[in-house]
Amino acid sequence: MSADAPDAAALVAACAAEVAAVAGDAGGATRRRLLVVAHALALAGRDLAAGAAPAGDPALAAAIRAGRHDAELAQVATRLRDGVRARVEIAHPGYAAR
Amino acid sequence: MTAPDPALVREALVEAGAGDPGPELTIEPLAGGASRESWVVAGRWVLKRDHPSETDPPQTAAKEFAALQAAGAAGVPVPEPVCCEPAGGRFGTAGYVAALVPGTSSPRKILALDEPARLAIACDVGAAVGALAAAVAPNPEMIPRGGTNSGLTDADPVAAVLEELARDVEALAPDRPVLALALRALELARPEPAGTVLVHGDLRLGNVMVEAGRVRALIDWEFCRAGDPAEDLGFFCLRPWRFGADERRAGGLCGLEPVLEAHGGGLDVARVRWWEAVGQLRWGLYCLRHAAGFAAGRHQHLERGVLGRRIAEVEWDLLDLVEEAA
Repeated sequence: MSADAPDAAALVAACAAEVAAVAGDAGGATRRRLLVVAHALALAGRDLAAGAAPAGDPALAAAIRAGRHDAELAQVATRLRDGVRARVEIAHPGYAAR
Repeated sequence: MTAPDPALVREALVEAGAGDPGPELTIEPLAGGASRESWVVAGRWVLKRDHPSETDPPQTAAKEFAALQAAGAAGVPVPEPVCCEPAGGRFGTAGYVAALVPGTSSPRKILALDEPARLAIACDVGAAVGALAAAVAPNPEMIPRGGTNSGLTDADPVAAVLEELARDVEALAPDRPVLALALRALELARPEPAGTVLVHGDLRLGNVMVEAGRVRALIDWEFCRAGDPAEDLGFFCLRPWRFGADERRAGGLCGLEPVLEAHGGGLDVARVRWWEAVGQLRWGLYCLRHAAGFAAGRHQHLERGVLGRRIAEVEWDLLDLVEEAA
């Protein structure tokens, strides 16, 4: 049996679009507040579509702080890129491509 | 929000020799300001005062007022300071009045100007920061010694900021390798001390009032403190303050070189970029602090809660800065 549709991600994304449209008809402080709500909903929709968020890495963070990667900071930065790129695409689509 | 008492504000203005706005003066709220209420008085002045609920403002009104006086005397374009009142004084909470400066501080409008105007504005900012480095307060006790929430002292801004960042990364982001990496890179590239000067502390286009294609004033001095000579221009270069004009490092206006030339203080590019990375890391920690407050139920401010999610952008930009410095 297929899952009921639309799913949570699609519903939240639709809510974001609806609130953004209402914001377009509003003015002043109300418009600003509605745009914040639309932004939060759009972000939540992308979160739901992406699935579980990646966990942090306290061990690596501690090793870096202790100086155990001092000779290869740029290489560590390169290795961390892909994980950050995926999170940026959820938080601010397109930002990493600019 | 309850407006200040017009009669008492009038009395303070008259006493300061600013002129009598008359008994019918208007007092209207002005949007903006992170820790202060702002009010337009008689269309000629701005009254900034602490929110009644504010218990730990980044800078006291009296010190901010003194910093404005010192900056203005050094030739920095600022809103002309008029008078200052303590908590419980004629403005209710602690606050001060300065002249209303005409123009816009909208980054979108400023960045839409043509290239010569953007260059002129950037050079005005550079010259203003250069002049600020020479500011001397009439009373040395009134020179801000660092925001009460930053813990900075004026002994050595480089050492102090590294201590501050290490403490905050440990408290707010012990599981974030990118922030650890950025901090370690800063520690390894630590510049020699270059003295302590008065800094604006929040220098970005949103705090630069522009009219007719030139800078009229640096405004909103609530984060002013003692700092490093390169600190303000480093902060001015943060990618979030370029508003999409990413290739123009100095606030989205132009490259950094003409700004350094206009500054005239011999700042080197590497030192400004070090402070840019400091600013980027501080900005990330600021976002995390608001997100943590939201998650813990200390506030229900949606915009500040969502601010926490900007940490991904901050980390992306920090990786750029680490790779650029390597």
